[in-house]
Amino acid sequence: MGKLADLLRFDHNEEEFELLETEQGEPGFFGGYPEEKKAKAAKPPPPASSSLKINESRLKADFYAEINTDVLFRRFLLGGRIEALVVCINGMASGQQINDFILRQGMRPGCMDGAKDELALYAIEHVFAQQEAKLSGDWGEIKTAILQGQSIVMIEGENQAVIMDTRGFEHRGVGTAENEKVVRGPQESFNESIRTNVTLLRRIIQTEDFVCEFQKAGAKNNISLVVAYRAGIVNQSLLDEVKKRLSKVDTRMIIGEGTIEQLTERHSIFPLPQVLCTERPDRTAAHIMQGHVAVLVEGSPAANVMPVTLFTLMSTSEDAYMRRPLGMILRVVRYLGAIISILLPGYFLATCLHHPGMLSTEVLTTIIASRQMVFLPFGAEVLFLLWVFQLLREAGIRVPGSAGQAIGIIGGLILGQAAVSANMVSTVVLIVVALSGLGTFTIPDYSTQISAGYFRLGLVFAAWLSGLLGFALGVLIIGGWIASQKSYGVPFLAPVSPKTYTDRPGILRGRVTSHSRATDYTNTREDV
Amino acid sequence: MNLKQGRIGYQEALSVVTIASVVSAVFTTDSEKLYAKGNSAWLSMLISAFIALIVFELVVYAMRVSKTQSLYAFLCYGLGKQLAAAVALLVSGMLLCCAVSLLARFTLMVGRFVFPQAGEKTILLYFMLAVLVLVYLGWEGVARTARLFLWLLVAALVGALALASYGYELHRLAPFLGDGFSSMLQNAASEVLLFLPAMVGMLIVTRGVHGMKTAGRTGYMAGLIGGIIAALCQFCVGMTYSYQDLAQMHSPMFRLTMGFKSAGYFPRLDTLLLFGWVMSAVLAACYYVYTASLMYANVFAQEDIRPNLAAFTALAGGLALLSHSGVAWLKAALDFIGRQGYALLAAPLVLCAALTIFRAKTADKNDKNKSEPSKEEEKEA
Repeated sequence: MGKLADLLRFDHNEEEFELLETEQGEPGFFGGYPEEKKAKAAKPPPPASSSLKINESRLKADFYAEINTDVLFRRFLLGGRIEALVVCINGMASGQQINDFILRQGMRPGCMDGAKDELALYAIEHVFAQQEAKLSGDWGEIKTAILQGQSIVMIEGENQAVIMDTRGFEHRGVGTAENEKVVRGPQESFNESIRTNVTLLRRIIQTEDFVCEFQKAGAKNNISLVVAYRAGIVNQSLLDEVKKRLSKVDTRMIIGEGTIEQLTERHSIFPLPQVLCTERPDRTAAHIMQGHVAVLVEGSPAANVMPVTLFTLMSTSEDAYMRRPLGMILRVVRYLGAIISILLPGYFLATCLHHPGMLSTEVLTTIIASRQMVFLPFGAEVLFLLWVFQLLREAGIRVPGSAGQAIGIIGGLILGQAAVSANMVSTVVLIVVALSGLGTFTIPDYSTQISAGYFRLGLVFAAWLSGLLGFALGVLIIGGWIASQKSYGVPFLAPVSPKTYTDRPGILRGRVTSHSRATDYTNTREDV
Repeated sequence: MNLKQGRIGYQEALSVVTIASVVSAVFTTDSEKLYAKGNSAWLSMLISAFIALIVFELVVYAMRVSKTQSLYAFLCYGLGKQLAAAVALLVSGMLLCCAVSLLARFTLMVGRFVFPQAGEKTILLYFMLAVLVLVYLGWEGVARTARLFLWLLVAALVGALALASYGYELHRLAPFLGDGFSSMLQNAASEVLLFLPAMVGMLIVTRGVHGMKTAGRTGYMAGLIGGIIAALCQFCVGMTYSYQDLAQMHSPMFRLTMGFKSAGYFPRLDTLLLFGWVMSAVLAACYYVYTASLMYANVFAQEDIRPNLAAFTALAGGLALLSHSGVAWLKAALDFIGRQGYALLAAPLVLCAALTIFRAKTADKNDKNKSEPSKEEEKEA
């Protein structure tokens, strides 16, 4: 009875937990956040103390050691006589390295006998067998080091900690590029470890001016990123701009290079990406060699390369590996595919709906015959099919493994056939939309593929509304929009508009010549 | 490559001015007047381009001598602030008239040949929307788009001329000089207005093309190329129709492509070519609206040109619409500008150039006299 009464009662169940948040006031109708109050600049924490006990208790408090059991605090006697403490995070730091090169070395009796005043420095120089070790009294740096998987050793009487790189967390090995496959050329791709990614780049760029600047990404999750460039040639103003934008990032969390891309871009409603996101070390390295800047983020298997142009987004690394005639054909096919993908549905709709006089009797008769029983208006039919195509594509991508491919093929065949049988769409429109969809896949960059969909949709609407007039003006406006955009100061249509020096024109590939000039639009120091 | 904000390179500048001058010269001519007394339009086009070049070069020379960096500064130097403002507003008005003329002509063409059921108002709204969006993208946006679509205009013109080539007959060019050399010269003079505004516009945006040197070079080349292309188009049109027929045609270039019919799958390419020209015309209108707005902003020392862009686009659209409504005063005004506009634009510029050169030379002489010691002074020394 009591349970029934509980079920039927209108007021809240007393045991039900509700997390209500009303302190910030009423949210806006369309969402959004109230203006954030400027946080007062936090005082830097006091530096490490010379008392080991105080340092230990501070660290334990900061890391919630009582409940955070994977933070390890290991006391030992350095040289058999001096009290010391190793702190690391279990799983982030390599246990074997700590055992072999810190504890075993440190516990040797008499190993600190020669030490006089500076115990920590002596330990680095004579005791710990670690390739990367430094001293720091900065409390923030000490904590960050622990969080990154490094180990710290604190010694009684020393107000500085020894920070040693003992990172040994598990990560995926270097695999093959999944999204930017090539037939010829290197197959390896970045993984989630920033160190490995930098190494992959260094293996390709073996110049002394290749710089990888490690810095914090500016998020509360304390993630690191690397700004990679060739100091000898990179345009200083480009580098400053990249750093300036990165320094302005102040957000709750950054997970992956996509977040950084959005936080640093200037034109958020422009559909085309303003940086090149690539998972290929060879492609990143090629751009760095040309004077570009790359940003790699910890935990992300891709790099953001800036600046970028439309022609970069339309090229693949394979273009350079193939011989000129082959590379040229690949590019021409790709550009034709992209043009068909964006223009064909709109153009077809405009001519059939508004300018049938432009078509021959045979073509017109075929279209009319195939549409005889279709009940959807012409424009709605095109839009419906475009939507179905996007649906299939999204489903194919999200469904794991080979099931995704099956959904794409079977869905396309069955749905297409069924839609034609049900008189929802005509065969001609189906072919046009399928061709357009196929053209989309010739665009190598994933974000650019999605952007093409926006332009295509806009042109279909314009063509439906006002035929070729709307279509032509739509093309002009889209062209103008792209032409007026810039990626980190470089016009999006360079090297075509503005025309810059290039031995590889945007579409037709030029010869791979023996000269060593960098791309003109990056304005490298070599140009000065 | 230069990454400076708001500036464009030589090729983009050349593209935009060439498009403006070619589209104006090929599509906005008054057939009734041009072919009234003969088929010499191709020759008169060359002559008018030549006259426009002379005026332009004179102004550029005067600007160089006076070391002024924009047209408004040059006008101020030559005519004084009050008169310069009046002339600058006149130039701005003439540029706006060019945009109006283009919009009106293409609205009519699209209305007549493609959408006979739709009113001019509806078609014009589409044009205005495109112009407004493009000019708002700024000088870089307009010029870079022009660089991108220049090949489309070239293809659309070459395509039209090639399609019609089966019907070319040289004898249709007769009478070669029309009613005589003087009437042809008269035509040529009035056609100066087809080339000069586009070239003068370049002198207004000198800062946007990295200075006077590029602006002068661009205007000169655009005038030359525009003149040759316009003359070539008129030559082909002249070889296709007799002058009696041409005098009654609204858009000879469109008629030229309408005559072509193939048995293939695309029998009507005229509409497609028309929209190639429409895109160029919109770009040209954007250029005129932008330069007119900038000139106006210079006169009133406005830093933000965007309100002017919106107002000038609306004004151009409104005037184009009124021109279709048959408003008497506007028709008379446009007729007058068509006939005498060249003088209205060229005369103050030439006058200013003459005054500027005179003043600059005099100032140079005075400077030399001051710096060089006289003979008596030398003796004393």
